[in-house]
Amino acid sequence: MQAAIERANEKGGELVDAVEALLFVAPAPVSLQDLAEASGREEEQVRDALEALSDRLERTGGIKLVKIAGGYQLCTKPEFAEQVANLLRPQKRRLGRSALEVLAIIAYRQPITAQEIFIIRGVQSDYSLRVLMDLGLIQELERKQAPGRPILYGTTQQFLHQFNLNDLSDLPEVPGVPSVD
Amino acid sequence: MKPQVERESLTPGGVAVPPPLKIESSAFTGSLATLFHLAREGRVDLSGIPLSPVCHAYLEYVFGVAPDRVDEAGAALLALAYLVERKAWSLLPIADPPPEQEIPELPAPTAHEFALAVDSLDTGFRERAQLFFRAGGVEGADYEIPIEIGHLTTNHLARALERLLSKAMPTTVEPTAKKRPSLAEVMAKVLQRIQSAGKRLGFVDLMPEEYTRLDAVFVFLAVLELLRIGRIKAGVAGEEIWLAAKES
Repeated sequence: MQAAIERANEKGGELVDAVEALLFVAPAPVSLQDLAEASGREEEQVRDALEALSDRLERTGGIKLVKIAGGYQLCTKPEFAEQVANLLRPQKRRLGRSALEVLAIIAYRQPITAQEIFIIRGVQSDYSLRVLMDLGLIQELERKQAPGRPILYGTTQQFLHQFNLNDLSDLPEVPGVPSVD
Repeated sequence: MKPQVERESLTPGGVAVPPPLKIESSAFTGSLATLFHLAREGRVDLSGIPLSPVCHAYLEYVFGVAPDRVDEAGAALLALAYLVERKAWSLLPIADPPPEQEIPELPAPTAHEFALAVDSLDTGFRERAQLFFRAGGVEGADYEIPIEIGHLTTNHLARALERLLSKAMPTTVEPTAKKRPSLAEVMAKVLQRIQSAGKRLGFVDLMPEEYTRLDAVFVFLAVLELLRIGRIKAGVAGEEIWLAAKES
């Protein structure tokens, strides 16, 4: 990592600053490919620049670089969360245990039908599914090729973002539950 | 066996009265009507009673019956047919009852296997709530990834709509009885109301006692425009928004 940072900081760290500028104006996580295309550099160079930027931001300032929902994005450091919240006054919202359970089942077993969720939970999950859909955390992927052609559910990019994950392989391994590739 | 004739009624309220056929055999002695009655109530086992003598007795009766007693003969035939059918059924082998279908039981819920996953997601959710993203708007916790529509921006869309509308034919509007005020007029009224109040006002304070939805929309737009051009200021007190004149 140190070598990558040194490489990126050569020539005055121009690419590091460019990447920082790109991330500053981006409203959503930006992929490595998009950063490389916008800066006109190779992906490997941009990766080094991202590491250098992350290192610099970790050492100083109130902003940090996170790898989230399949891309890179700037956000405030958690140590300043209270002050930022005082300014923005975000709505404190929590997901209920049942909704989280349904979400976990979908995350680990996707694509999955409502009936299959019912078999795992032993209770209907219609309400939780509706809540999760409204929050944009799950989506209808396709129809299962089975009698009745039931809807198959899966998680969204918003789910990854909301739960601080870069991709589904970041889901922690849980004994007895096969991980998602 | 020989048939004997006697008068008896099989169906007291019936139209056709069966003939009084008397049957004597080793297994049953009595009238056809009695045998019919007992068979119907299941009080006699027909499999042990030969019906051949009964049929012979009937045939003898039929060949000797008077032409005007056809209804009686018909009733006797009906009773005999019933006995034959019942006996046929009683001789058929009884089928084994169908095996009881086993109702498959639902597998036991396995949601407990996901308990650790739920805890992990909950932790991730809490950690994520400590991060605020630049495009998160005023409600940082509700940050949503913008909808992916390629390189289109809201400005592109707005300009496209503007071009579209510029070429559209104006809609013919029927004049209504009430004159519709212009936004400028409403802005002037709202500004005057706020300035003359000399204190903070709520949205409701700007409205007359009775107002329509259109009035509310006009006042709302006027307030937004006044905020935009910096003639008034606004703030939040609890759930309510207050408005006040801006010092010049």
